[in-house]
Amino acid sequence: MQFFQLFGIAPQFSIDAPALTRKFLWLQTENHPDKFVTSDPASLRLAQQKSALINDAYSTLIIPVSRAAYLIKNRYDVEPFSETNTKIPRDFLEKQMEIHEAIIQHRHAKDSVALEHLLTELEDDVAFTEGALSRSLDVAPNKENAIEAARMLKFQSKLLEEITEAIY
Amino acid sequence: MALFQISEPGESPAPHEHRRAIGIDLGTTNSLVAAVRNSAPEVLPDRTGRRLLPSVVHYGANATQVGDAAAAQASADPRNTIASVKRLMGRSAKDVGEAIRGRYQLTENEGLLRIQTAAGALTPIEVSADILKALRARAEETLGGEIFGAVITVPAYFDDAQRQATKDAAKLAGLNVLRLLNEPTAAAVAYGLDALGEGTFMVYDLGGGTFDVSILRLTRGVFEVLATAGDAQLGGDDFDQVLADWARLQLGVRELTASQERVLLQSARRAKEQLSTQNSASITLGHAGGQTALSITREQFETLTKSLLERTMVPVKRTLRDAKLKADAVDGVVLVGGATRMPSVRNAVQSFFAKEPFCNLDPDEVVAVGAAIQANALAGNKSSQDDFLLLDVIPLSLGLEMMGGLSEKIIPRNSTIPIAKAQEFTTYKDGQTALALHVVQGERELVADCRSLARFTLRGMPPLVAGAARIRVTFQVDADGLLSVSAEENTSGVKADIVVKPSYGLSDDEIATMLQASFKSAAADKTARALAEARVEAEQLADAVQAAMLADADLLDDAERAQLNANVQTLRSAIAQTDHRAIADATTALNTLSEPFAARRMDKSVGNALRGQNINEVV
Repeated sequence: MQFFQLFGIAPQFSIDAPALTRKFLWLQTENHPDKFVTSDPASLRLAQQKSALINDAYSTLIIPVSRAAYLIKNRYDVEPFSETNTKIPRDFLEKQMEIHEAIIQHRHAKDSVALEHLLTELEDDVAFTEGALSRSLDVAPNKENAIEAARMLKFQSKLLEEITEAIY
Repeated sequence: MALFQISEPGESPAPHEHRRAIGIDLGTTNSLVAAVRNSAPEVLPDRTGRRLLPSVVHYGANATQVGDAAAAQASADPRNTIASVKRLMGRSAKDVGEAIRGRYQLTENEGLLRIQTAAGALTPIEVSADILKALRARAEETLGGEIFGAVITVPAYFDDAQRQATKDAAKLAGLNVLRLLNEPTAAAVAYGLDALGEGTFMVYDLGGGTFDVSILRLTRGVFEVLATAGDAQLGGDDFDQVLADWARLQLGVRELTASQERVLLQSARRAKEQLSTQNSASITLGHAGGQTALSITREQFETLTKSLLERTMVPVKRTLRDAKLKADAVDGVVLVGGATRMPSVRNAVQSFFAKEPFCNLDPDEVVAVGAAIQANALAGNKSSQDDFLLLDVIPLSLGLEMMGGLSEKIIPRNSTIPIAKAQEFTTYKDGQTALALHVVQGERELVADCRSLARFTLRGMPPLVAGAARIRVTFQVDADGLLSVSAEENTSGVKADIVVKPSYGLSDDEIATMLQASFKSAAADKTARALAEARVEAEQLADAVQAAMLADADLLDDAERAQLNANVQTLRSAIAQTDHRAIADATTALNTLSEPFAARRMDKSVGNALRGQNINEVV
């Protein structure tokens, strides 16, 4: 759980995002290569590596879906989004397909009100899935439930992107 | 790669004298050079006091002219007078708009665009280098000596090929590139925290030929770019072109000579500029039948260019979406680029954000000023400017071509740089011993819609059944936004590395040849310099290794210590001799040998630094 250690926070799904961002900025201020321009080449290279690692860690942890995947991979040694891992409730998939088709329709009809409405709905769904993740990863750890919720969040995030793309 | 001698931030191992560092805004229409002098940034004028250098180069049979002198030849000798060359940087013929294609005689050879001139067929990189040389000469004259290094600004939306081309041009002009800096970020630095305060800001940068939008978050001396977007083929030039096309249509003139076309464009530009301060202007069109003047009102102009203005709002909305912000969450908007002088641009921005934009710094100069401040900091000069840090992003996703011509994104757009990301892939055929990798940049799903950056092949893998090989591909983007890619097969350790050299760039060999041609410095000088440089690096390494061995003796066993000591001695005796190659070889040997030790130290140091108690103090 190196990424969590970097920021000195507990390896769990629920995080204090503004605090994570503050720590990220602080770490970059201390380690960014630009702070080592007058140092020797070796220190500069080290700073480059550190800075890249901090960026990778922060971008992984600040986004819920990649944070969940990182936790699952390191805790259970499972790639939640690998092709071999396909377990997902059928009714959930059907609903996602419906939303996907609705987005295409509304986009075609240039119906931004309907799209905004769909966006709010999906944001609620995302919040629900994130709740399921914090339950299955933090409160009462359950590997299978966590993997399933992570996969669901991945689907929903993709749809969220699709909607925002359609709206703006 | 050795990782020794870890200095504290802001603490240099030895004090040094002031280094002459410059910031260069290499613009489509105009270029500028600025420097921090007496702890204040200022644009450096030429001898006659002019601050803007028109980005125009005239190639005569015997002489090359840059700037106003070149621009003066535009109508008399249009084919040999190159303007707006920035639009050709890192591009192929098919990327370039028809208007520009018609203006010059372009040829393309193996993806490398060349412009036919009286001085031969020149690449856009060489033309840009001529502009940079003129700025370098101006800076050397004004600052009174050799330039230590330069920060060159590029549009935030420039892709890898365009950035690489810009860096190549700077090298060709004999400049040590301290950093490629995104133009909107430079502008934010020029305004600084003093003017802007903490908060979230948008920089709207409409230059001569490029358009950029960046959203930055300013907190406690950190300028963090949250999102960037733009259009690398949209700028003030396009407003001139629309006006010129309109004038031609109004007068029913079809065919114009290249020279008449230039005159018309210049006249259109003047009219556009006049319309920023007055309600009407006139455009003069010279043609076979003589000269005709045409009057245009500001209202007409704004109707004609409405669609161009609307195009600028697309990236504005896109950055907001990417940063997950609503327009009212933006605390201020900074206007950059000469084209933002147009009242219609100001009004559009003001009405979208319901805020008065920041435009008190000269929109033509603000980018160069920001670059100078960053150059001064990167040269290690202490300045009166507050200590600051820039965290910038890549504008376009970087990925690999997968089966079926789909692009798999490895580093998504708006990732903070520097960054390294690795992903594992496998083979799809039994006994497959090679894997072709195709690196692409862009947001589209299909590789055919993205920009192709490079292709390379990982060879010599052990023949395994399909799906058994583990190929780890690592993408690294440095602080200039430039990509390098490496691939390794994990079961065998077979490696392949590539620094992405876009198909539209120049090879290192070509650059070397050009450099040799342009600096006819004596061979002896070069050897002396190589020796001096090799010695400096070698001494630093030897010192660092010995210091590290003292500091972290517990990380080494006796055999390792003895071997390291022996290599340090070899290096020290090589330093005492005068063969720079022997020094370089010994340096490499010690570097390689000390790598495992360095890695252990890095783990320890990263752990310590990143687990530091200070974290808890700040939160």
